[in-house]
Amino acid sequence: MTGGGVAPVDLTVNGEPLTLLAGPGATLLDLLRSRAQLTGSKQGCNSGVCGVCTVLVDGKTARACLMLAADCAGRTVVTIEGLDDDPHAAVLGEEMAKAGAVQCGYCTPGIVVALTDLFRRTAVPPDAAAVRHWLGGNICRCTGYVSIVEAAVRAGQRSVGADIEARAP
Amino acid sequence: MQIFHPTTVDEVIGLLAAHDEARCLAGGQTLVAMLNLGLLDPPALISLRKVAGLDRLIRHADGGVTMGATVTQAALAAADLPGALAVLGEAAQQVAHPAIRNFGTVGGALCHADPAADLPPAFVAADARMTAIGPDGERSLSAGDFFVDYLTTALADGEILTEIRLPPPPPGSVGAYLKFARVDGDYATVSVAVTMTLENGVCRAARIALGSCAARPLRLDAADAALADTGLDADSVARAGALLQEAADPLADMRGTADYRRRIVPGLVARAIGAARAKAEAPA
Ligand SMILES: Cc1cc2nc3c(=O)[nH]c(=O)nc-3n(C[C@H](O)[C@H](O)[C@H](O)COP(=O)(O)OP(=O)(O)OC[C@H]3O[C@@H](n4cnc5c(N)ncnc54)[C@H](O)[C@@H]3O)c2cc1C
Ligand code: FES
Ligand code: FES
Repeated sequence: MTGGGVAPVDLTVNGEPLTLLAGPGATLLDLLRSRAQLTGSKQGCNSGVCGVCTVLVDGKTARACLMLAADCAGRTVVTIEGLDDDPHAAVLGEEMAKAGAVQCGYCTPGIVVALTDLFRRTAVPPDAAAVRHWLGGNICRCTGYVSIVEAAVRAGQRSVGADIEARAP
Repeated sequence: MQIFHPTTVDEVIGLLAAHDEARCLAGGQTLVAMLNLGLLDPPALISLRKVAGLDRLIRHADGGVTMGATVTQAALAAADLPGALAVLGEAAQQVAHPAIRNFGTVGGALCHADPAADLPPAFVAADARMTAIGPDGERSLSAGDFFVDYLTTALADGEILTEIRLPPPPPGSVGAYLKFARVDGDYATVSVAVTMTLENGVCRAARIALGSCAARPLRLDAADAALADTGLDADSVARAGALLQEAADPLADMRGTADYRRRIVPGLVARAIGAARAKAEAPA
């Protein structure tokens, strides 16, 4: 049990065990951005709607703004910074740059994290409909989504499947 | 605000009794959003995350299911439950987006009792029984009695929802959930949950519950009766739809005016019945 003040939270972020100080109302997003200086995850709506704070928690896509930091003890978190060496994310980055799928870039980290999770989960490259469905919770105010979906489909074709294992670090 | 991490239901009940206005924290997918928006400032939160056993989904030999309150919406969406209970999985698959379903729980969605949410009408149509535990012990309520009003359940102060029990689906039973929303992942403008038991094309029993049509899931004995012992002919289906339309008292919001919602009820009811019926006709 924890009391009312600032309390240490032990969790693993991008493979590193960390102890971070969290006030009781702080979210995982606050913790990542302010205490761990991992500012790749963005803050938009702070209420679960926009998806710019998307991270992986215990291997699953999550809203960092909807996780209370004090409830994250023992959890394993991966942020966009932790996907630097991820083969899916790398291919996705290339395809997004090529397709012009990044304009202001505010939505990009959340979209890359969410799509990396999708690519890891499926054995077959997702089609445009599957990508759109999966990204239903990630809002982009710049691109109109067409280029993002195109890039995601191409990246999926390149990186989803058996050969990805061989390229994994 | 204090946060507690009890490991047993008894401890949760003790903490709720000891802290006035304390709230349970399940997946946080509604509660933390409300905290962030300043809509809520409880003195204490009691996390259910470490409470042993609450996240179990148990399939009984007779086809019945017992689901702990912290089973995630994603787990229910993937559970592939038999017969009439398919209504629950279909509803769970249409809740919000993957990230929300990964952590949002069945119990949290039911206890929040948002009339526009997907799980409440589905659990009413499935005739679920809710187990509540509080300082005075355990009691069981029907899903119909559990939902009382807008964002209000029958849970008393200090009581929590611990599990949901689903009766074994009768042979020949089918279920479907139809959500009409502006875009993928939005709350329903109107939703229809239906379970039916069919015998050689004759509907022996039906339960329909609507979302976003009243302060709680809307179910009518008369509408269900209009379908019983019929071949689900167009007239009987239209009669059930008209009765539900008459009883609907929806809110007006950005997802539709009250009048618009009422107008689309009969068409959606017919579509949902058609979807459920198609499952009975599909070769097994
Ligand atoms: C962007 C967004 C979109 C959404 N879209 C939809 C949608 O399309 N359809 C839909 O149905 N829902 C939608 N939701 C709501 C979502 O389903 C939530 O997960 C759900 O309402 C709450 O579940 P939770 O486990 O996160 O509960 P929490 O947020 O932790 O708790 C919700 C409430 O229930 C209480 N509570 C939780 N568990 C118990 C218990 N066992 N006993 C007693 N009280 C309890 C809490 O104290 C709190 O008051 C959406 C949410 C967001 C953020
Ligand atoms: S900031 Fe988390 S979803 Fe918008
Ligand atoms: S690129 Fe600007 S919000 Fe998506």
